[in-house]
Amino acid sequence: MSIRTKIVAAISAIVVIVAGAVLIAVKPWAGGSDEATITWWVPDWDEAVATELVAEFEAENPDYDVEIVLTTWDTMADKIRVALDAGTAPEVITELTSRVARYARADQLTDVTSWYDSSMPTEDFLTSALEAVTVNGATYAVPFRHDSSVLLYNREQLAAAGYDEAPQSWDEVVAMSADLTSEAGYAFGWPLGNDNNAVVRWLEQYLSNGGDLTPAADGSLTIDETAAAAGLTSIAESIQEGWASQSSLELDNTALRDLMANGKVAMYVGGAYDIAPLQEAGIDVGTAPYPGVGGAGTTTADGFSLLVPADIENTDGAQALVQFLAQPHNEAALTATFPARVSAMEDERFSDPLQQPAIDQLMEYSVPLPNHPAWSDMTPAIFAAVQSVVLGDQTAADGAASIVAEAERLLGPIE
Amino acid sequence: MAATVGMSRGRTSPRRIVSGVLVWAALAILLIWALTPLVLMIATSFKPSGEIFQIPPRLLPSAPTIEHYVTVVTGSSMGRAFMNSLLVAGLVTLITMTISLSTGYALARIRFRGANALSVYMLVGQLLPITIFLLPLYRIVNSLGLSDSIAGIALAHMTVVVPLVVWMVRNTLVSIPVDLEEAARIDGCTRLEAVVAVVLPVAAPGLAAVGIFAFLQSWNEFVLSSVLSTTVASRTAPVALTEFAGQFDTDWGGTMAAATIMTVPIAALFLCFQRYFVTGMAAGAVKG
Amino acid sequence: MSALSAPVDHAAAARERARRSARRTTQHGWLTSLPGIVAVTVLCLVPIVMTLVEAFSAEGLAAARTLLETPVLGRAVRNTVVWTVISVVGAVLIGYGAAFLLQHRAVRWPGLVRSLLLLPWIVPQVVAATIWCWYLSQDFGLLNRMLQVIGLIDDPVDWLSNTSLVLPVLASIQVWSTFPFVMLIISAGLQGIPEELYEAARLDGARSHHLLRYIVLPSLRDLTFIVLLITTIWAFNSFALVWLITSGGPADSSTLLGVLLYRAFQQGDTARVAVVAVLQFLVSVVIALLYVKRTREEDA
Repeated sequence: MSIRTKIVAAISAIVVIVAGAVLIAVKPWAGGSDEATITWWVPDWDEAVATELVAEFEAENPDYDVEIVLTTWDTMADKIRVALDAGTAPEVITELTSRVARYARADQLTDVTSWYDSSMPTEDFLTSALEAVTVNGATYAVPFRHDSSVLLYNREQLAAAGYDEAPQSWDEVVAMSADLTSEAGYAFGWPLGNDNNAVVRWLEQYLSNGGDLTPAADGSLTIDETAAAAGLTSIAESIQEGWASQSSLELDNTALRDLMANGKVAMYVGGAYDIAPLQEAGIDVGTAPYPGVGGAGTTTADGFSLLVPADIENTDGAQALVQFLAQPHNEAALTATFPARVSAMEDERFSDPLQQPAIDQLMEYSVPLPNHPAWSDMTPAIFAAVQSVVLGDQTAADGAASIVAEAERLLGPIE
Repeated sequence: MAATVGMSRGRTSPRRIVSGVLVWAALAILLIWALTPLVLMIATSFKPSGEIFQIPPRLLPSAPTIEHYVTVVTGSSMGRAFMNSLLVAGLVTLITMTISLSTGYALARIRFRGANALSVYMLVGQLLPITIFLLPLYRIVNSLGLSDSIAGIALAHMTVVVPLVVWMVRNTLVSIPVDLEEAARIDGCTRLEAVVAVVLPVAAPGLAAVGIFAFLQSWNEFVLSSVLSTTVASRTAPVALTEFAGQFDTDWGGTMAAATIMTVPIAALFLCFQRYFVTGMAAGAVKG
Repeated sequence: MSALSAPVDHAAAARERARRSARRTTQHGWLTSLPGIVAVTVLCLVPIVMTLVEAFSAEGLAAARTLLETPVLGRAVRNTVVWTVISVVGAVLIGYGAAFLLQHRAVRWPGLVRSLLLLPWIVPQVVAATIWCWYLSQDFGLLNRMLQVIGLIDDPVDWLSNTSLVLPVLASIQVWSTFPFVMLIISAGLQGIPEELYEAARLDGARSHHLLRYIVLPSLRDLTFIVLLITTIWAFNSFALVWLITSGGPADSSTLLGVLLYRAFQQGDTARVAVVAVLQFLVSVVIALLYVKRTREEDA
């Protein structure tokens, strides 16, 4: 075969493949949109449950047709923001609760305060969840999932070192650290390789050391420099003194959990979702509330909510779907961690005693992330400060000063 | 016949043997550096999830499994995304080559005023970081009614593919002797006929190579595709790869299996044609 | 014009014909180029103009002032320069090296070896970032394990979390991913050198290194410039690789201008996006113009 023939053959093959793919791709255009279609953007880990719930909803409400579109963790923030900016958003979106306030302040969401009727009274919702999605007295989303942190520890390793109980405070963690660190592994670990993970861990230390995240009357937020420095010190010292994993700067939540699964880390702060994977890896897992200063510490809570963009066509349909999903038994099914409604907590999904400390932490000792519109812009500054203090490039005092300076620049009064 | 560099005299002189060994050693090191990550990708895709995070890590699975491939094929959108990527890349290649032949020919053959300025202007899409195209392209694609569609993504890809492809087509055409065309035109052909009948066939290997380059650029594109595609209708393969990273959990086995599925067929296709790529580019090479 | 009209000025008529023909050629050239011009204008020019307008507006200038005061800008510029230099030098040296090695008569199946060496370039960036991140992990990565087994290191190295190592390590991944392109182009160039040149030189008594200096390298000069231009632009504007592996960390030690740009995009800070983009654009244009000036000197 001459080269010309080969090229012709290859081009023909490509054309055939492309044509075939066109046919396959174009077919699904049948069954397009009618007035009663509600499009719901669902993250892919919720797909199975969402599909079931949608089937139930459509059975109860034959007038409505729900179309599920999947999003992924890595791309959802960008996609949702771009869609809201361009006005091409769907009827209902599942989005991270802490990101809702930004869209609300940009007037991109429908005010759903009136949707909180007798079937979903505001009193039944976790305060930290509702606070996060309420701006200037109006609520802009319906939370269905909310969770906070919990201390996870390897019961076997602690018992071998002579401890039959989890540490109750940070001082106890430090006291136990020497006994739990050896050639084989470390006492503790931090997920400092991922910006969001690292910021959450620092916030917990900040809050437990007396820091505050309540905004002033004009909406501005100040960071307490002493508490900020104390938080940075706790993290940095644990690594510099050698009892927290030296690879912490590379780790994210998953990698940290896998270190514990390999027996390399005795304790770390994670979430209720870590329990099952650790048990599967054969670890005898124990849970406890966050060891703060002098007792249980304060942590931040976040989760997912259903938001409804402004200017959509089918507001009634959106309302019907959202109110359906907000029913206690549906929230209990949909959430991958814990529901945002107190009555839904009684579902047997959450009856495992190992989950109880996580629930307690969530309901009694957690606060919402600030809903200042520029809050998430603080992440790079806090992340950089944590890392540079751990690396020894900066003292904790200077790191805290840089965080406070950035807060003054970004978290001013809200107009 | 390719010229060889570094010939020494004498059939089996020690210098010849030593230089041969050194060359092989250097190539071996290069091959190990180039290929180990890819071998790792394939090996991890066959490891059961429990083994993937073992410390200390091992290269080969002790109990190979195809569970990740099953997950990818049945439980993810990679299959559909693969077809979408094929479609998008195919469309991009077709349209880009057509446009580039036109402009590339003009820049290669026609001496006109402003040709140099034009060739710099054509490069402009490559000179910018892709981030600034995100929002404007999103708006353009939406206003054309092409949101979340194969055509829309293809349009966006052209932003980054057209610049370099025009350049490469120009280079390929420049190397074809003008005499061929002129002979045809003296025989009575119009310029267009001369090009189609005489220049294109001779330039075919080089142009096919440039086409493959365009295809690859579109196939690998991630940033634009991730923002412009919403549903599986238009999701491309690199974007589907991110499905395996959840909020709290990353399915590494699935990721590696999906990555292998995404890479191997295209690599095989390219490797079949790489010889022509070299030959094709050689035609345009020395004249630049 | 009838033969009976006023005295025919042949020179003037010829000049007029030449002028008309040149105009026709110019029109011809621009018309044929039209599709490409339209594509580039619609897709590239509109975003660029929008960006320029934004950058020089009031918000843009304010953002520029703020940006100049942040320490991260200096770090980003420094990192970008280091990154670009390592990426370009590495890719060009290794690409050249590979191309030359493959020409050696001791190599059997050069086509196969070249095909294998092409794989890093064919692999999509997302995939490459994912694998290398995994491969370099301090706890779970195979590279540390291999080096320990061979005996080169005692403890695992923190490739990605050590502030002095992370940027060169990331640049080496960029080299890994771009050297095959260089190798391909230079291989093509080497094969295009006519055999006669070598023979003539050898007849004149030239040794191998003479051949290299006086025949091979000059013939490759144009290609070298193209390769330098493309790899420099690619490296300078890149961000996806770094973003996917370290997000610019730890502590901004791997933050490039492109990373800074993307961060601003994610924060919805369109003014800063415009400012950084204009900065990158200006540098890229300078690099491209340098190249064009060089080749125009060659053609002249």
